[in-house]
Amino acid sequence: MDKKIQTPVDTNPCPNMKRVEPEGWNPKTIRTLWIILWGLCGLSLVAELFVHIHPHFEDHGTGFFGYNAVMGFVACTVMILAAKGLAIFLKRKPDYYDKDA
Amino acid sequence: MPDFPPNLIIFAGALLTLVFRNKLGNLIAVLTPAAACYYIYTLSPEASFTLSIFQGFGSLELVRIDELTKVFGYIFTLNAFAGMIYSWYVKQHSHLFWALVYVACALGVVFAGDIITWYIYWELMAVTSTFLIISRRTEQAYGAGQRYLLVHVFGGLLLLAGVLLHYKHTGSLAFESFAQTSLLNWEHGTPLMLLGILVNAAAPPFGSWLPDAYPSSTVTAGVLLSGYTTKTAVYTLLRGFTGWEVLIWVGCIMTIYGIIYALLENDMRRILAYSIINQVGFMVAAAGIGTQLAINGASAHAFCHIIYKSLLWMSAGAVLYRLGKSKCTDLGGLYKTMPWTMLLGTIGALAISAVPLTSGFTSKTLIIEAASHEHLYWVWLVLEIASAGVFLHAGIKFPYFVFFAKDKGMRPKEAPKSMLFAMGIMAFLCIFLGIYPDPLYAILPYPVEYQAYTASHLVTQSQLLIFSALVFFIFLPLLKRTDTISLDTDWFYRKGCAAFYNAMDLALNSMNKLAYQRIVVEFVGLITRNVHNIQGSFAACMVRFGGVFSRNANATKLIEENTRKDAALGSLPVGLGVMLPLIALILMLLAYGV
Repeated sequence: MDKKIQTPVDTNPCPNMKRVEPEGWNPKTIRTLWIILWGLCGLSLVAELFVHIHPHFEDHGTGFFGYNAVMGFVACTVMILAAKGLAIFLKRKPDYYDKDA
Repeated sequence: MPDFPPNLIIFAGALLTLVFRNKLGNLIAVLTPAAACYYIYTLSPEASFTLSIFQGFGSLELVRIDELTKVFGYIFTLNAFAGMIYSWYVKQHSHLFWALVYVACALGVVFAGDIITWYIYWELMAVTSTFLIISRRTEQAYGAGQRYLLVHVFGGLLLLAGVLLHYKHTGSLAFESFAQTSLLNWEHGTPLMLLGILVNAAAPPFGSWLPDAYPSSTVTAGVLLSGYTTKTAVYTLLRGFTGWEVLIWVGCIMTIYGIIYALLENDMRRILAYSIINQVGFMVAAAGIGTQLAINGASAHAFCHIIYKSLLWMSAGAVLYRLGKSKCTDLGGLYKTMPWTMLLGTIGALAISAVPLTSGFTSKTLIIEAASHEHLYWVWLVLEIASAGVFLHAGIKFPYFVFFAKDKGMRPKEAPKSMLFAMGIMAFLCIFLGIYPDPLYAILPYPVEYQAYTASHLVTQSQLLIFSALVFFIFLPLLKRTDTISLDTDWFYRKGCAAFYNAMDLALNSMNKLAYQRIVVEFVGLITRNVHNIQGSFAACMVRFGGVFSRNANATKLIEENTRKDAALGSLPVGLGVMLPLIALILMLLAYGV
């Protein structure tokens, strides 16, 4: 390519955008958010006590209390670990493909 | 019978945007999809519009209307309408032109009643979308556009071969539900067609064009591209390939593949691109299940998906527009100055995760219900796992790393009003269809008897999602972004083609170099050296011959040198000077003449 235009034509980064010292999160806020998250987890389990669940595929052992919570937890853990494992083989530096150009 | 095909309105609008290169052009770009949407609404089912071009092939059916075409017609025009409002700031009207032509071609695919029309529009889509990608005019966009076109030409050729074989096998050009056959019966044509369609649906291993090309396109092109190419493939599968079992498994693989790669990704628009593959996986699996409930589910999900995926691309586009950055490692803390973009983008993220009260909840659950209805335990399980994973990679990861996470100290302005307005429309639809899905259910191909809002659904879905969120934050250190890319199947053609080029370079150019050295430099040099002073060499030869009888070898050598020099300078006595070239000439003549 003869003409190498590096600045995309469609973005409008403000040249005099305000920049400040990065602000950290207040540990108190983070603590509150964790409490809310755990609280919601507990609430979703408590709700099951009051609702009659119609489980699909009961014969495959999906009918026990909190099945969906367990599945969400286990499935996501496995996927994150799988992605982390694959990363060893798949991750490359961002200029990986530019070297041959 | 309609007077003209609906996409003609958008084609006309596209041309007008080139004529009016001011805000009037932008206004036309906004209004024509809306007009097309209304026109589609007025068309009565069973209407058709035919055209006779190819003698002997019968006529081409440019418009065929039924419930399925209408669902896709509505959402395609609606999305273009919002996308064009979003693009209000665009001054390069060629961008609007290509975007509208692309949308019009996608509508052409949806309304096509025969496979020739369908194929032509299909290929036009590939060409016009390439212009959308390269219009960003970066080196990366040029490269990605080139690869995009090559992959789609490959898919298009598979389709063409499939179409021709299908015609030969059945003698019919009708675009309808194709008879199911084994994938090995390639001479039936339909298996090749299916492969070509799966290239467009971005099914692995052919799907890596999507995360390569879409994130390289312009801010506005990303919004539009996310809606059409893969969804026309979904439409085609729902039209022609319902109940093909292979699609169930292809769809299941796509859902998981999209999640794993989105988890690995650093670029926010590439996260969304992999998330498209994940979402299209649900629809492909539904087409494979093929029951009325599944087809309803796939149509509803395509409808809602286009809305929330557009919304997500819009919010990512707004960030890119303001900052010129799209890597999660460069972003963070943007909620402070872009709160509306954050809020609207988060609504899209919640909708894609099928959180109750959003459109994902009322559409995706139809597909999962369809799998359970058919007692497909493994399919149901994979789709449930994928639902949890969506919340992980798109629902939380995208807003978290872009708008929250680690503040980088950047305080850009809020997105332009036109962008916020377009995002507002889409966010409203996400919530409206989540709370009151009846208008959507009413336009689906088959009657809907599904109740999304039961206490049981609400509790199970909430458990699934909240515990997925818990996992995200527990494993946050593992999910920390690194400035890397991940290898996908495009490695084979990106590195493969480079390796092929280098191998050819090495093999052919070294042969060339060797031949040049041996023949041009050495052989010709040898001849020239001996020929350029042939009379001198000849005279020296004679001197040497006479010198055999001399006792003073040094004197002979001196005379030999002098003779050679004299001959080269032409300072030999005239007689000798003439005679020697003459002899040389005669010798050469003899040598060449024989």
